Parts: sequence; C-alpha cells; structure tokens
Amino acid sequence: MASATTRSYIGRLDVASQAQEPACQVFVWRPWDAWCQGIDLNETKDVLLYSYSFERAEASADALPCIGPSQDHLWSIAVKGRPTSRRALRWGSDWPPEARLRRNKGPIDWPEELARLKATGLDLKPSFAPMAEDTLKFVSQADLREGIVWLQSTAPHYFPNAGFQVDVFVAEEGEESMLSLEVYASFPPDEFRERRHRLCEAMLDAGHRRLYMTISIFQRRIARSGCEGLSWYRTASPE
Amino acid sequence: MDAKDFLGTARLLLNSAPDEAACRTVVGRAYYACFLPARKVAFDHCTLSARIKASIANERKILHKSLLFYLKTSSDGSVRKLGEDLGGLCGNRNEADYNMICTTTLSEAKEAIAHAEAFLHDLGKVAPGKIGEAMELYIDQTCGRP
Repeated sequence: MASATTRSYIGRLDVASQAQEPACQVFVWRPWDAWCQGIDLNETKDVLLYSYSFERAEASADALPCIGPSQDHLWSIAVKGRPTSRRALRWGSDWPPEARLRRNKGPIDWPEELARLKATGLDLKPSFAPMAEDTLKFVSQADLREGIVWLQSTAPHYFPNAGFQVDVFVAEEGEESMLSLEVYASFPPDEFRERRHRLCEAMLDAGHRRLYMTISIFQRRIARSGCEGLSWYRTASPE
Repeated sequence: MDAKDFLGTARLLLNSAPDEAACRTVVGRAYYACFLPARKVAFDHCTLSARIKASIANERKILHKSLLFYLKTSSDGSVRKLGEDLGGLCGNRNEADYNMICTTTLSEAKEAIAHAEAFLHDLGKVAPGKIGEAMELYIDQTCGRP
C-alpha cells in the first residue's frame, strides 16, 4: 500500500515537470528515518534518494519496472514520465499490473535493481549524490526535509543532465552552517545564473523560503569524462 | 582601496599560467571583489535605527551569511538575484579555500571571474536604496538576529 505522502510527492513532480519536461524520470525514495537513524515503521515521510533522467523520448514508461513502497516502508522506486503520453503515472491502477508493486524487506540491492532498469535499454543518469551524515543532520535540525525533497525532484528540470550534491558549508569561521547545492554541469555562466534564478523563484513560489534563504547554488565544472567521473555516479551506475 | 580591484588581481593570476593554488586564489578574490562592495552598499543605505537594532556598528559587523540573508529577503527580484549570485560565489569560494579533495580547475577560475563581473554589473544597476531596504526588512523580521 503506497503511503499518502509518497502520492503527494509524485503529484508535485507532475506540477514541476510542466515547465521543462525530461523524456522520462525514475525516482528512488526512501523513508527519512530509515535513512538517518534506523527504521521507524510509523514514519511515512519519504525522501528522494536518487533520480534518473531518461533521454530516449520514444521509450515507454509502461515498459519500465517499478518498485512500490513496501509495507515496511523501507524503500521505493517510482517511475514518472511522458514518453508516449502526457498521462501522469501514479501508484495504483495507473501502473501496469506486472510492474505495479515489488517488495523488498532489506536494503536496496543496487546492482540487481539497476541492472533491471538498464535492461530496458534506457540511458540511466543518477542526478543526486547521497547526502553525507552531517548534511542529513543539518537538514533534519533545520527542518528542511520537505524543501530538500522538493529540490531533489525539481532541480533536474532546471538543470537538465546535471549531477547534484547537497552539502553543508560554513561561509566563515564562527558563522552558522549553510547548505550548498553543487551542480555538476557545463552551462555557460550567464545561462547558469538565469537557470539558478528560475529555480530559486520556483522555490519561493512553492513555499520553501527557509530553504531558499539557507542554500547557495553553484556550478562545479564536470571533467571531460562527464558525470561518469563522479564517484557517486559510478556507485549508482548500473555498470 | 576599492575592493573591486580584487577582480583585477584575480584576472592577473588567471593570465599567468596559474597552477591549482592560483586557481583557488582566483575564486576567492572574485568572491571578495563582490562581497565587500555589496556589504558597503548595504551598510551605507540602511537606516541608523536598523543598524542599532542589529548591533551593526560598522561594515565589518555584517557577516557573510547575514548579507546573503539581507539580499534574499528583498521584495525586488533583481536584489534577490544578487543574493543568489553572491551565494553561488560564496559556495565556490568555500570549496576553493577549504575543500582540498575536489580539484579547482582553470575553467572554474574563469567562471568565477565571469560570475563576479556579472554580479558587479548588476550591483551597479540596482538602486542602492533597495539593498538598504532589504537589510532593514530582514532586521525588522528577525529583530536583528543574524
């Protein structure tokens, strides 16, 4: 049974995707408490762990496997896309029967799950690196979880094909910590600034002012090898 | 001196076959070429009563994080954009100064200068009073707490 929280997040993704639509995206969710401090079965708030962009517009979302939230709320994988239609996929009857729900009571078996996604022939690109422990702690203490989930699902629309990392930093000794969103991409400076401003305006429009105030967004130029040069990309990559 | 001159220093370094240490310095100088003039504008155009409320006796009392907050609090989109741009430069500078694991490349140094040039251009176009108002608004909303 999918949690209501997960449903609402998918609904938000539908809204976010109207601005700039990737061909198809896969979102991997995990309950916050299971990620941070051990598993609380009563906790229904999921966080986005990874998102993948699919570039092949002709791909069929219905052909993709998907994994729904288990009864134990351990983890879930959702597929969102408009490859063959603009219909938004939601948990439940919208899903093809063979892909509707798979359950796993243990940790994600990444090689197995990603090999399954890879078998679809689609180009998988993880967007967000896993957050470090101190970042998770800061996000939790600053009550920024909802904002981060929003950011993780929205930023790829404003910076297509980029990799992302959320981190904590201190501007100067003695000052309080802030968050950074590092965008691994190669946008020209002016274009990057405009995209960042549009993302920030969307952040305010979506009601995430607290996140807006505390986050600094900047570009890290990717190496010639592109995102494949990033250690967390290799970790998450099906290869 | 005029803090904007730090940008000239950054360009000089960039044009002298810089090694990575120099590239990191370029990123840092580019940030300070923006932070210091923006801080001066905010201080100079904020009312005395707001400064007193926030215990800001001089420019140096305005912290990096505080200045970002001031700019981002503005109701004017062009001032908020200054805050977003300065935040980006600040994040880049932090990485360049403290993160010795990730390489700071020549292209990132060039980009920092491009961002700083654009920031200073935009700072010159925004009415200084709007930046002072943003600072006052933030101080009003937070009772002067950073």
